[in-house]
Amino acid sequence: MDALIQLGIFATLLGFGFFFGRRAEAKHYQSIFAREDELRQIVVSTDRFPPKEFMNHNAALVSGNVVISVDYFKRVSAGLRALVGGRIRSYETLLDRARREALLRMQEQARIAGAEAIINTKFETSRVSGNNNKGIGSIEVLAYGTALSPKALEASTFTL
Amino acid sequence: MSFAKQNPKIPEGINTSADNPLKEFFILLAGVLLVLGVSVALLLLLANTFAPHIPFHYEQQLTNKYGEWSKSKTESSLALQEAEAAVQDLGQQLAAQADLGSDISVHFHLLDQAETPNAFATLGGHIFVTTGLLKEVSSENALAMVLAHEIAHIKFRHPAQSLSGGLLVQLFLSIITGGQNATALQNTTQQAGLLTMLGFSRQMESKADDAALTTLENYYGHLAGAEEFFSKVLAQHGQARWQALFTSHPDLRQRIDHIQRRAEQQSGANSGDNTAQAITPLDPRLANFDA
Amino acid sequence: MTTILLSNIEIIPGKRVSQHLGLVLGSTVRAKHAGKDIMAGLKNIFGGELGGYTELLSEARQEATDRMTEQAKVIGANAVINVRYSTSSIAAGASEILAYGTAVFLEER
Repeated sequence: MDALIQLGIFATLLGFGFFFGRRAEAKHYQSIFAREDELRQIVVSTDRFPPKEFMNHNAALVSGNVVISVDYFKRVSAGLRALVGGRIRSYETLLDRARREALLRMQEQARIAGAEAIINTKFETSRVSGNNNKGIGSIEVLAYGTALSPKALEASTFTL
Repeated sequence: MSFAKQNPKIPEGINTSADNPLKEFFILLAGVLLVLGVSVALLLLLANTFAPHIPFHYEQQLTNKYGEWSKSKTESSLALQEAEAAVQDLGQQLAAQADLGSDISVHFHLLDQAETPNAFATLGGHIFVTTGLLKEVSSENALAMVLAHEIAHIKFRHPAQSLSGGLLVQLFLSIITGGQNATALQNTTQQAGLLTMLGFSRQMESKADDAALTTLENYYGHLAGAEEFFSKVLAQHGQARWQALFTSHPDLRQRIDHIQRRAEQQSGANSGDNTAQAITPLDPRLANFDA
Repeated sequence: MTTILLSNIEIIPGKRVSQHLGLVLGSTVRAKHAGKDIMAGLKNIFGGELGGYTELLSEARQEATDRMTEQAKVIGANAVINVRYSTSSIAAGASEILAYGTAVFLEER
């Protein structure tokens, strides 16, 4: 009987994880698509030197980070996959979302600074300990780079 | 060269896949559970094959303290001590009929737990009976059935088998899932292991029932009254057939049916000798607990 | 289609960037099966190279690179410059590899 109750709890948690996790993911992707379109003008690149047309721009560090956690369903599904080996698809969407979100936040910061492009973009991913170090707790993705904003625009902001 | 005017629009599905995760999940779950189930079953088979070859005196050395504990119970009531002696008498007589191995001996202990009708056998040939069980049985035959069942467990070395099997399975599961450190996964595999072990445990119970009936036949010459305890438990608690899948003991109805079938076969074998079917009353020393 | 040139410098000798296209990413999360994990655990006692994990990471890195290359192809690039790799451990026994760079179109100088 005990085993049955435990099995029931397990199945319920899985169901909740799947349902809510999937809904949250779909919603997050919708918002990512919309904001990516909106911020498409702020070009992100990994170039280390500013291109010629940006030579006289101001440079400033911008960054965006996000900490994201995984639902119960994905955790169990990843655990099963880890027994067999291979690609863990449930974590791939998680990281894809996290990385794009971090980029978007960096771009938003750049837009506030009036920047036109971000160069020398780098990513940093780390596991934030949680859940007593058991399995995946949550992960942080940080995106950072140098935002290039035109000097004229900055001068006009000074006069405000 | 021209610097990009805007970020590229990259199609989805390169770094991720849109496949339904449920499909992958169920295929994986089914596969992993199957492999786990088979490995656990193999380990248990291994334990069941080798455990009976562990010398019985190792078990006895491990469990010496039960005997001492039983002797030191001087403060218990006189009625309880007498009842324990009565259970011991009946048990030893049954054990003599049970075809035990030469090195195996059994010891009976009475536990003063009036609320829980139960009996169990453990390592070293120690068998525990609760006073609650004495309340539930009205004849010696019913009590003898329970005692003979536990004696059969000892005879087949079931306590050693399930303990060593359990240890092996735990070890195996923790090696497999240890590196993962994922509680959720550990739970899943534990459940799979547990269900497989319960299957084995039910087999042991059926085997013990069978041997117990043979012992009773040898002792009383008939099987009348043997199923009384099981019938009472069934009447009190009721048990749906599906629930049996999650318990260590087989379906109660099946057990009772099995006893009755054996009883019919047996009475068919020596028909016309109905006088022998008399039910033996309980020893008066046990009657104090008969509510 | 032609192969994509990958480089972690930004000025390719003999070529010049004619068109700058933007950031491309490729990532994958992978795990080795439990048997390999156990072997690696044993190896940890004696030291030495963990062959299973070396293989895991190089496979994953290859896949991340392939995915980045595919993104670059789709947007019409013929090279990815300034490529960077980053590795992180997501859960015990599973690691993520990220490859990213700037997709460009190169011309002969």
